[in-house]
Amino acid sequence: MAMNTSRRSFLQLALAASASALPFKWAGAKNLAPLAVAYAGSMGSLMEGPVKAGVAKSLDLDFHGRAQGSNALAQLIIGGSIRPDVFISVTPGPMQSVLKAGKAMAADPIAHTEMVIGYSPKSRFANKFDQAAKSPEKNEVFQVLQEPGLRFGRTDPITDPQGRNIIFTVMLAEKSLQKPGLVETILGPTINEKQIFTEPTVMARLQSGELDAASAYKIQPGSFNLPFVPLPKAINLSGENLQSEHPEVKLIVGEKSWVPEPLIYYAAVLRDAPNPRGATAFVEWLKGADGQNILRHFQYDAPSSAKPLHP
Amino acid sequence: MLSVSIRKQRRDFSVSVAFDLNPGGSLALFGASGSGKSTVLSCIAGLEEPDQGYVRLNDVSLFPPGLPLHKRSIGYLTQEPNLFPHLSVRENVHFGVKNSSNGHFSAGLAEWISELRDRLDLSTLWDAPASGISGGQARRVSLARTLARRPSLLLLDEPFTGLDRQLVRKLIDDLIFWNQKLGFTMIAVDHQAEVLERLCPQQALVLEMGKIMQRGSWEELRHAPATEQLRSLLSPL
Amino acid sequence: MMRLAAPNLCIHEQGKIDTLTNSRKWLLRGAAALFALALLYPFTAFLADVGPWQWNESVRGPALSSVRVSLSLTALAMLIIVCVGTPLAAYIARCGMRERLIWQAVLLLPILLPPLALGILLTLAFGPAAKLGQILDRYGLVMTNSPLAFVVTQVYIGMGYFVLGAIAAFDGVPVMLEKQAALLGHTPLQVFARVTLPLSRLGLAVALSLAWVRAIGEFGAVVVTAYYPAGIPVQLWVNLQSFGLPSVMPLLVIFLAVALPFPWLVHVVAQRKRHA
Repeated sequence: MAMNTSRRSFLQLALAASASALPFKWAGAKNLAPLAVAYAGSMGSLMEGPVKAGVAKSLDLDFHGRAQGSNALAQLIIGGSIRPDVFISVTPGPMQSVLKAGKAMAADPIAHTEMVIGYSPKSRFANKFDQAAKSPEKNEVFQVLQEPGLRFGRTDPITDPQGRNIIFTVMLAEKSLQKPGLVETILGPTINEKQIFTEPTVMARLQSGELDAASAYKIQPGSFNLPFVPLPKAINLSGENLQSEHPEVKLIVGEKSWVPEPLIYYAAVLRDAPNPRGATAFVEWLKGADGQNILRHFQYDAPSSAKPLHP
Repeated sequence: MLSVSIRKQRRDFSVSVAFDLNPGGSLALFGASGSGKSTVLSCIAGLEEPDQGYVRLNDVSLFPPGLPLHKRSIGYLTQEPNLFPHLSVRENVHFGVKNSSNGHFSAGLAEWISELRDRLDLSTLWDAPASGISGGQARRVSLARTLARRPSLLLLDEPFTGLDRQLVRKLIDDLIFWNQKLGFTMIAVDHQAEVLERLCPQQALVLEMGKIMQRGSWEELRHAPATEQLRSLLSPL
Repeated sequence: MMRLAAPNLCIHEQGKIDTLTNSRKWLLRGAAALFALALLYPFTAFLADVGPWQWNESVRGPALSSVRVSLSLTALAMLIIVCVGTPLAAYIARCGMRERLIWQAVLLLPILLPPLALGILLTLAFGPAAKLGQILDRYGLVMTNSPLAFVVTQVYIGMGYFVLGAIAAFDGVPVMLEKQAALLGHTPLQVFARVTLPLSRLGLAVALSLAWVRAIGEFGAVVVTAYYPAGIPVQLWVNLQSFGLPSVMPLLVIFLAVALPFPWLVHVVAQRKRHA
């Protein structure tokens, strides 16, 4: 008898709990059309925070974001595995593949960033990095990076633009500091199993102290509460004419030849977007004052003179 | 010599028995279902531990402390033949006996196993998988397996239940024959009086609610049953 | 039997009884076939139009290398799991209820974790940030992006599945059989070897094949702890990002071809030995 009563009351409690969960779901979906946005992984805190809120308020859109590496997203879009409304990638490469495959008509630049060296506050070299961060033009950071026993982290150059960009950065440093062999000393071979980790875990490894320093875009370390050392304009890939200014900077990885690409974020409305009007409104909003304010707040720089992409 | 004095708490009553048994002797434990007979056997075999008391077999203390099963020279037969289904009949019978280093049994052992096999009519079954034989056949195999080891003490917990009369008669005669030949001590438990009368006519203990109500030969039991329940159990259907 | 018992049933009605049973049988078969079709439906995606499959030089090399990595290292992990897990399961199978409950929680914890979370915990616990990690580092044992990291991750992924299955397998062996074996002069170790193990073979095989299936396809944890050497799941990920779907399909087919035989064979052998 006692058993039956307690079982019944448990069931009642469970039913009540699950019933109370329903209204929340319904409230969220009321009045807001969904907008599916696939964006480069590094943009997470920006997208799921103020962009989501801003888009709900200004555009009456329910932002459904999906973060992954730009290359992976591009391939999934090309293959038809995913059908978002908007695709935001960093560097032209992934976006151009999508344009070439006919999945979008054009892509607009919405922001740009630059390369920095993120470091772990738990690192035994933290003090030296702090010093280097104070005067980036002196390029002291490259001295610190040569310290024996320093653990440096970066991403896979085969699949991730940032994995290639850090190599380009150090190549440019090697050139401007006139220190031949710098790439070899700091990074080792292009594929260096001691340094390469999957993209989402690099920042996490800085937090845990497993890595002393890592490559990063300027917009990354902030959301992880990690410090970084800025790099001089000449080597941080923020310039737009890198290829013409440094034609010899080339990287051959996985039988493909790569050159430095501007670190520009592009947004494109996709052709089979389920919500094309919302998609267009969103991209305009990103380019407009509201969107740009939020981007600035998160350390994204303005796209300035970057041009839209076409297939 | 088997010396037993144990106490074990069951759900409704506590089993409390004490007896001694000379080497080579046979003892019947008789009583109604649930009177604690099987408990006594399982405590002696070591499948359970008594709450108090002692069990000694030939100057070896089986309890306390509980001697590991594999060190006891005890054979335990129940209604369930408990044959190893993944082995053949032959392998089952050979299970408890060691062969010498070259893989063969000593002459005496081989002869003994042959005798078991022939007397229990296992020749036709010898290479059959143990999982493929009938219940009656399985119990014969189980007996052969237990005796192949020539244990010092043989415990029988109603192993004849459900077998046909002819087979039961034969098995009882075989047991008596081997008991005299090998000289092992034997305790048999059953709720059928006539089985025990034939198997262990000289000594019997009557159990009721875990306590010994009467000791004696079957003749004495029949002539002067100590309790009403005993009289009822012994009278014809 | 039925016909004798109901002699007044006319032939016509007797026939109906037979067809009913038959049609029910076919109904069951049909339902089973439907279920199989539903389960295998995703594989029709192999016929989807993703463009011509890519299997040129740049794809082939890393793909075959990843097959070698997956097969050899997962096999090693399975060996460790069996060697460590079998005696552990035998011990737990003999434990009392209270200790068993604790063990079940212990075994479930690592496998309950979302694989990504397990990967992160492993890198934190075995990496240079942890004391143990530093000790291992001093002895030259690399715990990230190494075959050692790969195998360790797979052991953590698969152990719970195997041990829990093995315990169930050992539980299936009747206690009286083991006690009889003991009374027949066998030490606990001998009982385990001659009675328990042979009778639990099928259950152990199922447990092992589950652990294998789980481990060989493992991505979430391995991509964090051992991006190198790349096994098949990581290579699929890399292929997707570098070349797209056309390079994913052929490797997927190869994965099925190499991953399936082992657990299937294990079942076949175990079934056969059972009726030996």
